[in-house]
Amino acid sequence: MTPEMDGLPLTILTYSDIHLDIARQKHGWGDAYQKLAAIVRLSPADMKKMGLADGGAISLRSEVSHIVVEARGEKTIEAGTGVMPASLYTGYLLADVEHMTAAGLSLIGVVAAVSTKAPTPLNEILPGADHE
Amino acid sequence: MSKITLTCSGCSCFCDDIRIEAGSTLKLIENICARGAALFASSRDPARRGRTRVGERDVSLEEAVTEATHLLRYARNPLIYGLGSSTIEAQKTAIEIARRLGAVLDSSLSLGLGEILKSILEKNLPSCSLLDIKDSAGLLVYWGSNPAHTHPRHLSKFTYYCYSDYDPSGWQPKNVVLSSVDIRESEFTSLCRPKFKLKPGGDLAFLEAVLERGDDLPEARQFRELLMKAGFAVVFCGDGLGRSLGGDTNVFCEMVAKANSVEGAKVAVIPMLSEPNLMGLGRELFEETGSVGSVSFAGTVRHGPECSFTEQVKGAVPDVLLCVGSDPYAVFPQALMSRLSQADIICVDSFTTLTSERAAIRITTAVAGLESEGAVLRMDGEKADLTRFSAGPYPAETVVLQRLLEGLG
Repeated sequence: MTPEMDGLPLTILTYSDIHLDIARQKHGWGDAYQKLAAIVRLSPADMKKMGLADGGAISLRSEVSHIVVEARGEKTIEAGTGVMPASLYTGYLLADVEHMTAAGLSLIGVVAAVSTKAPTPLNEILPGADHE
Repeated sequence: MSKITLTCSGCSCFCDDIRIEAGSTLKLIENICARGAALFASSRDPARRGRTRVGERDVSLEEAVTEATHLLRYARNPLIYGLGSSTIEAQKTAIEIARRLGAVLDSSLSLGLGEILKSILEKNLPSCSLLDIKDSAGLLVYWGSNPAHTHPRHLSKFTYYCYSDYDPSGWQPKNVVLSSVDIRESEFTSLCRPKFKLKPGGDLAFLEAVLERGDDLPEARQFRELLMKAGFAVVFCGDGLGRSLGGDTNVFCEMVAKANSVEGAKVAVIPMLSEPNLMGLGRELFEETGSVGSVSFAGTVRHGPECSFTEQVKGAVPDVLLCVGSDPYAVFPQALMSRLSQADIICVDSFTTLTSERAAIRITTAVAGLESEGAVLRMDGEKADLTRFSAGPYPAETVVLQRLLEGLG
C-alpha cells in the first residue's frame, strides 16, 4: 500500500457546473476547462484534518484510478464529502465499468491524501490515455 | 437599427425574448443568459466549429454522407445516440433511420429523467405549463436540481422572480414559497426556505417517510405539511432525483398522487431536462414505441435498460455509433468509452467535441435557432419554433439526417 492509500475516505458528489460548461463551449478542452474542473471542495473540518490550505494539492484515488486536484474549503460541505463539477476528472475516477449505474456517475468513493504534485494535466486523462 | 426577436436554443427553457440588432454579428444581445451567450459566441468561432471530414481528409457533404451511409448500411449492431439538441424534424428522421437500420436508439434521458418524463407522458404524473405558474403557484420545489447552473433564467422568466407582488424590501416575492430538496447546499439552496438536505442516495427513503412509511423523519413531516397546504405546488425534478431513483419512479408518483388527493391541492411536475429538446425526443419516441429512450428497432421494437447507451457500450455491442449533437466522450467515464475503441463513429454536430475528434466521419451542421430553423418542445411540453438568424456555410442537421436516410434506400 502506498502512503497515499492511508488517506481520508471521501464520497465525491458531482454536479453540472455552468462555468465549466461555458468554458468547454467557448474554448473546448484547454486550460480554462482544466482550471475549473480540477478542483474538489471539502469541509473545513476535512481540510484541517489533512493540514490543507485553500489551493493545496490533494490526490484522489478510486479503486483503480488516481488524479491530483486543487482543494478548497467550503463551510456548507459536510465532513466525509467532496464536491466536484462533473467532468473528465470525475469520469476518470470511475473505472468500474461492470457496476456502472446512472446514480454511480454522481457519487464516487475515493481515498484522499495531501499531495506534493501539481494537478493532473488534462491530456493525461483524455479518452484514449492509459488508465493506471 | 431595428431589432429582431429570437428563441434561444441554449437550454430547455427556449427563452423567446432574445433581442438582437438585425444584420448584426451577434453583438448587443438582450435578455440572453450566460449559457445562451456562450452558445451564440462559440457559433461564430471557426476553431469551435470544425470541418466536415472523413478520416483526416476534408470532404464535401456529399462524400461524407456517402461514406456514412456505407458504414451504416453494413453495420451489424448500429447505435444512434444523442438528439437532445435536435429539432423535432431531425429527431423524427433519426428515428426513421433507426427503424430502417434495426438500430438501438438512446439519449441522455437514460441517465436521469427518462422515467419521470415517461410517467408524465403516461399521465401518471400531472404536469402543467410554465406559463401557469406566475402568481398562481404557492410552492415551488426544486428537487435534485440547481437551476442557476442548468437553466439560468428559469426563476426570473417562469417562476419565483416573475411574480408580481414583492415584499416591502423588494427582494422576495410574496405569496410563494421557494424550496429545494437536494444532497448538497449551493448558492441556489441558500435562497430556499425551507430547504431539505438529504443524504446522498437518500431520495427514496425521504419519499417513503413523506408517505408516512419507514423512518419518521422530522424533515419529511415538514415537507409533507408544506406540500399539503400549498394549494398549487410545482415540483421541478432534476437529474439528481432521476439518478437517485434509478428508474423506479413509483414512490415519487405515489407521493404526488397522495398530495393531489387532498382537497384543494394541485401538485404538478416539470422535468428540468438537461439538453434543450429532450422533451421533443422523448415525446416522439414515446408516441412511436411507448418508451422515451433505450429502444431497439432490431426485429420487434423493444425497450429496456439493456438498450441503454451504458449497457450497449459496456458489452462492446455497437460496431457503428451515429452520434448526433451529443458528446458521450465528455460525459461518460473514459473506462466505459474505451470499450468503443473498435467501433466506427459517425459524428453529426455543430461544434468540435471529444466525440467528433474521435469520429471516422464528422459532419459539421448549422446551429439550430441561429443558422437553421425547426420545431422544439420546451421542458413543459409547449411547442416553440426556432428561426434562422443568419445563413452559414453549414447544412441543417435535418438535411444531413434526411440525406443519410435517403442513402440507406
